[in-house]
Amino acid sequence: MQRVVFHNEKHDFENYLCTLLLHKSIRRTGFAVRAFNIEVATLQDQISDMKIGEMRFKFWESSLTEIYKNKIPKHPVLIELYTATKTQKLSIIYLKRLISSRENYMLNSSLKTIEDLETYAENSVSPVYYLFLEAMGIKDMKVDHAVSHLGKCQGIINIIRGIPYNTKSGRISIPQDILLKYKVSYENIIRNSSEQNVRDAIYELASRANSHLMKAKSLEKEGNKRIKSICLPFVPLHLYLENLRIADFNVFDKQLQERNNLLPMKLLWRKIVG
Amino acid sequence: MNLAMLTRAGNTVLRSSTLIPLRSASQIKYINVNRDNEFENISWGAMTDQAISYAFVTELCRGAAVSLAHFFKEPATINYPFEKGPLSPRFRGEHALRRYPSGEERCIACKLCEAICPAQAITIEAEERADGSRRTTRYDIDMTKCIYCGFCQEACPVDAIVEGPNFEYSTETHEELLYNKEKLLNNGDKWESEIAANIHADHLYR
Repeated sequence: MQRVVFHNEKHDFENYLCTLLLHKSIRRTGFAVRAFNIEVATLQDQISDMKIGEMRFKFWESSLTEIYKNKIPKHPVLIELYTATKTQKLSIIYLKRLISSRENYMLNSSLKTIEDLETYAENSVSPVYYLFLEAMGIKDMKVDHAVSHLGKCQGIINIIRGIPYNTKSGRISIPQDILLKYKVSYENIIRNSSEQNVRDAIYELASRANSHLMKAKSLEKEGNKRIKSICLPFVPLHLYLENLRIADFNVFDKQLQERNNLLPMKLLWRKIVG
Repeated sequence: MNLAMLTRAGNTVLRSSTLIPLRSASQIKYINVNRDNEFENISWGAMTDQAISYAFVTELCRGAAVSLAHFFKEPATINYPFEKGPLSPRFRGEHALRRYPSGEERCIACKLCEAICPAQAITIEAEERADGSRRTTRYDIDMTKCIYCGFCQEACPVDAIVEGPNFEYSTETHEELLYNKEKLLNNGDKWESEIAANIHADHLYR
């Protein structure tokens, strides 16, 4: 348990804070799901060969099926996940979707259109929130819709944030139709250029994320009150978009990669006041 | 003298054996590329400078000064067995099997490392324990087969097998380089702090 929490804190600080403030009944499950997501998400950065990646994804897939066959695996994250599935209802489909989306992303290396990016976001981030909802026992179309938009927004923002890191390893994660539309070359990105066309491309991605965020916020207000703690990631997402705007959509700005020390306070404030 | 002129001289293709008529050869102008002027038309001032530098052996003094400067500089070499050069956190040295802080083995006998090893240096045998968990009964690495590609540590889902920072494990016999599980676990215990620090240095912040 402790190890899994630490794992979360190290790799995904903002979501770690959000998970800490989840409703008490699903906090432990939340950490398990988040840790599992981190495991499959960081996998592609740890490998140098596609085959190794495929093997490791296969490992996660087969251990998932083992969990649902009531076998206790010996991986700390999987043990936590096992206890989670025993105490609350978690669909294997969503967990499998987390794996398959990351695997496809690793194999396809680049995204063709912005719609591809949205599907990737929907499949790699939203299932986490669906699982939270399932664990809380909420079944509501409107709420599902809200967290789906939240997931899409977070997925797109993750891609934007990852641009400086990914270019270091020579990977361009901006969808190709955006690159074509604004005539951004790979070299522009690799050289960390902040020219107008690069900023325009980032602006398009960010505005897409922003519209999802707005939609999710409005849907959350109408929907169930109990999902307030699940929707806490609104705060860091909104903060990042705001900082990006202040940096004039230059993703390579150093300011954007710094940790916001006021974030815990802001999250707590949102949780209490709403 | 251009090519057109030579073709007019009678040959269509210019070869080294082509006879160039004496008339056109005599028109070639030679240019002196030596720097005679500088030495012949030397001014009195320059000559005095030269004489002074000869008299005070300035070249020798300058050379000696360079040697003296290097005497005070930090040496480029290191005193190897006592001093060691810097290592990257990604350095791939001697293998080790890690444990969890609780002392439990990390390895879950998934055999991914055995499958991926291009040199087939890893041999694993596993069986289920009384508590139902799968553990290795045998984990051998033939260090003389290993090519240090690091695929095993990349394939490991639990960070159990790692290539640590140790590179000083030469032995006198071949047999000593056939590592078994005990040796690997001992390595892990010995190098745990360094390995953990390296993994931390290399982890991605996102």
